[in-house]
Amino acid sequence: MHLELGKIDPAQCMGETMDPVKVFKSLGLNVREVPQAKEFLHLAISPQQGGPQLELVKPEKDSKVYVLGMAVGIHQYHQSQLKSLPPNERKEFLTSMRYRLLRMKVDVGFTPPDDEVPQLVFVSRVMLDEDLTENDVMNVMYKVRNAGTLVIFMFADRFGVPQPTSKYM
Amino acid sequence: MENKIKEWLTSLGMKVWTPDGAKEYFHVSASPPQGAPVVDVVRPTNMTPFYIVGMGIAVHQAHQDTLRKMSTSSRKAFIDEIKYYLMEMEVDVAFLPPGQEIPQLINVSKVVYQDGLRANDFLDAFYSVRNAGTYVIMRFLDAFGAGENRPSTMYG
Repeated sequence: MHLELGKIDPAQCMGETMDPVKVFKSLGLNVREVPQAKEFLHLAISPQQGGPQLELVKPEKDSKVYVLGMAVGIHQYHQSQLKSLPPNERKEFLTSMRYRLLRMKVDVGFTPPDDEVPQLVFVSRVMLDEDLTENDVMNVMYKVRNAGTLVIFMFADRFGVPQPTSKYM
Repeated sequence: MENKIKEWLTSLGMKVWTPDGAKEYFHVSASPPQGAPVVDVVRPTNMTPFYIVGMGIAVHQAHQDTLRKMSTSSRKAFIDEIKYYLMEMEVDVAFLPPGQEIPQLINVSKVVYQDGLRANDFLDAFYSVRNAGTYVIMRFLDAFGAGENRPSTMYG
């Protein structure tokens, strides 16, 4: 290992930036393009043995940002369980989830936004490509993946695991 | 970079050593001088582009027994809360053996990428893992007490 800290990477002198995709590939994750995506770059990233899927988006060629996100579809069974809770318990469950996600410093979107029972929870984080390092990408991956996993855990722990399905895959 | 890592850990005032029988390309353990907690840094092969910073917490037999005697709902509440907190700490988590209600070992870890690794990136991951592991130990001790056996040998 001859790369010294502080030594300037020639690629960066020429104004090129680090490609975040290499970090995901080096972890042995599957990376594929999302078909018919409208963005300049839209990749789906998932473990080879299956499991939660991340998405990496660069909106346009000269965008200065990447977005790493994870969409968690809420199983029909969990939606109906949530619907059957008394309103105060339902509210408490969802607000405690929101508070935890806020503490993780991610963007959070519930779909539909104002409904009491979400069909989809989307967590994401923006990365600026300026000075972006491999470990910045790694840290954002942990943030987003763990935030999404937290949502899955909280539903599964509260309402049980529904019949095997590809919903969370 | 391996030497750098040893240097960073040593400059924090920690004991750094290679554990007996370590088979990986690079494997060091680090602990404060008083001996606990121990955090490991591993690079499995010389082709691996990253290091794994990890800490394993063995659940004391007495605590496993106490967990077993608890009601299902309070045991679940206790374990779930630990799980959620570890998710928030942005680490990898494994409860072993998997799928069991009563864990024997809780492993927390974080991967750091070798290219462009700065001292403070490494330190960040180190703190995440050490504090996540320490949180698990403290939750168990606060809930069940240290008991007659000194837990420090177990929670290495």
